[in-house]
Amino acid sequence: MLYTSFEFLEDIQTIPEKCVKDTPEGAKANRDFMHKLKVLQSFFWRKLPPYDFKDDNMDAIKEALEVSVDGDELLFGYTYFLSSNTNFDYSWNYLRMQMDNYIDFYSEAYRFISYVLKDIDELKANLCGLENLHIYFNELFDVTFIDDKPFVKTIVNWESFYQINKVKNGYYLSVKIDKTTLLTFYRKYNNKLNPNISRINQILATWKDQTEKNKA
Amino acid sequence: MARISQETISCLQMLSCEDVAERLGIEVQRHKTLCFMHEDHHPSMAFLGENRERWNCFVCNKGGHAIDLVTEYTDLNFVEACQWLCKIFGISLDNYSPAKSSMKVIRIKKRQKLEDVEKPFSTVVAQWILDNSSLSEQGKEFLFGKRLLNAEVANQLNIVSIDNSQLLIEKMVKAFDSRTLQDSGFITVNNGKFFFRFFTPCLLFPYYDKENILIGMQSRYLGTKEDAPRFQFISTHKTRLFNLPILNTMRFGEDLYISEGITDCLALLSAGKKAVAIPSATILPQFDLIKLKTYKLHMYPDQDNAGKQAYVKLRRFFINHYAMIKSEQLPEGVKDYSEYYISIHGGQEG
Repeated sequence: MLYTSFEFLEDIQTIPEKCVKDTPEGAKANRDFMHKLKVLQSFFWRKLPPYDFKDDNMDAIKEALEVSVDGDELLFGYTYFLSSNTNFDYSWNYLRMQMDNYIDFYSEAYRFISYVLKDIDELKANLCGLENLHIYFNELFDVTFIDDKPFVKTIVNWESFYQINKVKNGYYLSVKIDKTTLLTFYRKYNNKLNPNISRINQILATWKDQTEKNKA
Repeated sequence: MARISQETISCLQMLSCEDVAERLGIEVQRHKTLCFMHEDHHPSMAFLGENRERWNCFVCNKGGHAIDLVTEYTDLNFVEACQWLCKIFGISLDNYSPAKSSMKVIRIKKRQKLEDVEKPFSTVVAQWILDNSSLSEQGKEFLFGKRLLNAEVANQLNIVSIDNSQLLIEKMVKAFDSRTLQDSGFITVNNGKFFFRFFTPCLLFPYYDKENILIGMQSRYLGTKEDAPRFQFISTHKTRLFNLPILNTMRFGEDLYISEGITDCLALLSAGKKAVAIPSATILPQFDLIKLKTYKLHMYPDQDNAGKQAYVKLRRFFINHYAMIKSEQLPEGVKDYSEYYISIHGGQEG
């Protein structure tokens, strides 16, 4: 069973514990969570073409984004409104220029999430069954493999949400058992994940041996 | 001007109109879509036949095959439509080479926007129909015999049924002048004869707003005609939620279930839950949905792609408005909440 954007979005909606607390801090945490969730959801906007892993269709994706962003009158009006604020240092010109950077940011995040979902399916086929195994994607998504469908569970590390801005050329993958990091490597786009899966399996086998020796 | 052979035409007429619609950018769900020929808010256009090779709008009373779909939707003429279809579906066309000929750029026909014009819906006539109708034996058999729904729920929602539309029209003609009837939204006139817009026999589900004002009516066909639409809707131009008045009985943070379609809503209500329904996920009644933000929202999505898509759409909407809707799981093999409800309460599936 594939772990798709549908299941991923279901997982990321899990309200963090601290947001449930009936305290001012809890309320603030909840607002923060809802705002970030809204941003994260936006990367699953279905009007974009699916990312093509073979042909790397970033140009087509950026084109589609450009059509939408440039055609969004409300968004454009918002840039003017912001620049009208005398307390706001940035000029309208800067905000208009930032819209191009916004397209880059958005397309990069979109590609990153496409890769995350693809990597999860590949890792799931090779690594499931190990207790307490966590795969971290750029310290942002904490993925575990579970016994029930869809056999994957993703938790978002909302404190590291800024990591979504750092995925231009690739991202870090970390393999952890509970909180112990066994391996971290940089995963570039267009590189195959396979060689790293072998490394991961080797590290896990070594760790398992070591743990059993320590017990004995 | 190129001529299209009868053989090619026959071939094109066998194409699935759903496939053609999707190529034209028309969203199809559960073999239906919003009709592009009129200001539609509840899917009135259906795709029929074994291969969905026919389409028909029950409001416009227009339909046809794939070629007709293209000529109605775009500004292509008959020959151009055939050429376009041949190119898209890889059908060879005598004396025509897509590589050599320049294809006319396809443009969607501009239709007059009727957004500012309310669709006819006479509250007076609608209320009269409700006051002068009751649940027939056929209606009761469907609701309570087959669907095992709670009679109290049906009563509270003012659900009635119409077995014979001709009898109803005979009474309506005595109660209202012909202008009122024609403007009511419930009657069409053909060759001077009045026809009831809803296919009968049918159940009627009135829609009320939060202030309990009657704003629409939906029918559920109970007959055996295969081409008859199962659901039809008459209202003013806005799509609304079904069972809005229930919000007047609810506290902040209380559990509220949202269903796609009335049938599941009735089952949820019969199960003792508080529920509202969206008539279709094709257009979300956004201004009504916003009112639900303050409740704890749940949904039992149908276990098919369309159901999943409906839930995805609702989830997206609520996240954008800083609210959450929880997807509840149906047991494996159960297609929707109605089926689940029936399985718990025993009896035959409707």
